[in-house]
Amino acid sequence: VTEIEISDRIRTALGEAEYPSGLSASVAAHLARGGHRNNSARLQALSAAVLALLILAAVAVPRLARDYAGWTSSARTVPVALPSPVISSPSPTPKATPASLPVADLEAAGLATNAGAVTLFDQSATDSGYTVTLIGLYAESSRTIVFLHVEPDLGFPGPVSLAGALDASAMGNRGAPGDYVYRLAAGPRAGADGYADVTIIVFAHAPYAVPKRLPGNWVFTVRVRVQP
Amino acid sequence: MTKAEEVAAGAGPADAAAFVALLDPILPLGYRLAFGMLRSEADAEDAVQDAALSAWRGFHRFRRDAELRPWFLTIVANRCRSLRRAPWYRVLKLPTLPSAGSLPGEDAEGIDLRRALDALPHGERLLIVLRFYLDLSYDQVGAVIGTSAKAAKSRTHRALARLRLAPEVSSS
Repeated sequence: VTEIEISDRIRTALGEAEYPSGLSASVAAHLARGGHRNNSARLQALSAAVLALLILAAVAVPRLARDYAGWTSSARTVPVALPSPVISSPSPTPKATPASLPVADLEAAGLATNAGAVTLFDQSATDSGYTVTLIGLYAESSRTIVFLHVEPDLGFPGPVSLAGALDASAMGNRGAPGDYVYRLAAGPRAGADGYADVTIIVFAHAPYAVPKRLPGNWVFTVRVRVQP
Repeated sequence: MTKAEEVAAGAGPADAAAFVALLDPILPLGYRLAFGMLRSEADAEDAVQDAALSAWRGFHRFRRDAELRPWFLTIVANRCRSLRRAPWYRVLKLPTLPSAGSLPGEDAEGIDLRRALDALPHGERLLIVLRFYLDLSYDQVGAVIGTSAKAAKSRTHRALARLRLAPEVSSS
């Protein structure tokens, strides 16, 4: 096959197209519309791109910053780590036990006229950045009244339960600021000396001021005199 | 100073008419190249128009000692490649290309050759079109694709081999 024959075959295969008579004029018109891209046109394109980026940044950056701030604040208030309760020691704490409970606490417990029957404590347990303090306990064979102080005061802790008593969990009443009183419908069994070892458990805390409940356990084991 | 150098020296919006006058003798060759690559009259017109606009926009980069014709043909070829790469072209345009029997003197061999040309990569198809459809010398083909005449010839023969058209006589 010679190159001339190849050329003939290629021409036959591709066909022939007549040059459009108006193409020159249309090219001239096309150029007139398109113009010559000079430096100012490039500058305009660059300026438009920069402006678009600035607008995007103005819209996106505050939103991202807000999302980031929300994420970090929620990360501070709701730790994702598993709870690691700090169980208070049964032994007396170094803190001095208050002489008596606030009147509001006693009134909330219905013990305003029997304040001496309440055993005072000052045992604290901290979990999830939330400290619950057992400040008093009243025990009978059929009921137990628990006095708690919470810090910070974000609302009711609890529910509260008496270990070993199936039907002894309860929600609380407000007492003095930061104090909460829980009436449990079960009581500990006293020993021969009239005292009983009691374990009070405060379950996961769901205060009203925090959007998500705080996981954790606040446990107190104390020895208390059981009232006849 | 050549005409191209004069236009290039004063390139600006007011020189568009002069640029068109400079380009006018090359437009038929550019159109033929575009038609050979795209096999569509409408697409070939569009390709030439777009190439002319690209050439005008990039005319300030045109080397004053260079030839205008291979430079413009290179732009046309690039425009054709862009068109064929576009997804809409493959989806919409290829089925509308001339079908078997639509060309004068069509035979089975012509159909096979056209299909083989369609299947060639852009670069090899360009070589075939430049050499055998536009009848350019290998020097001119090399100038368009940016290689030496020898390299252009070697590549063209490889493309012919893929078309199963091995030449017996090679002329430059």
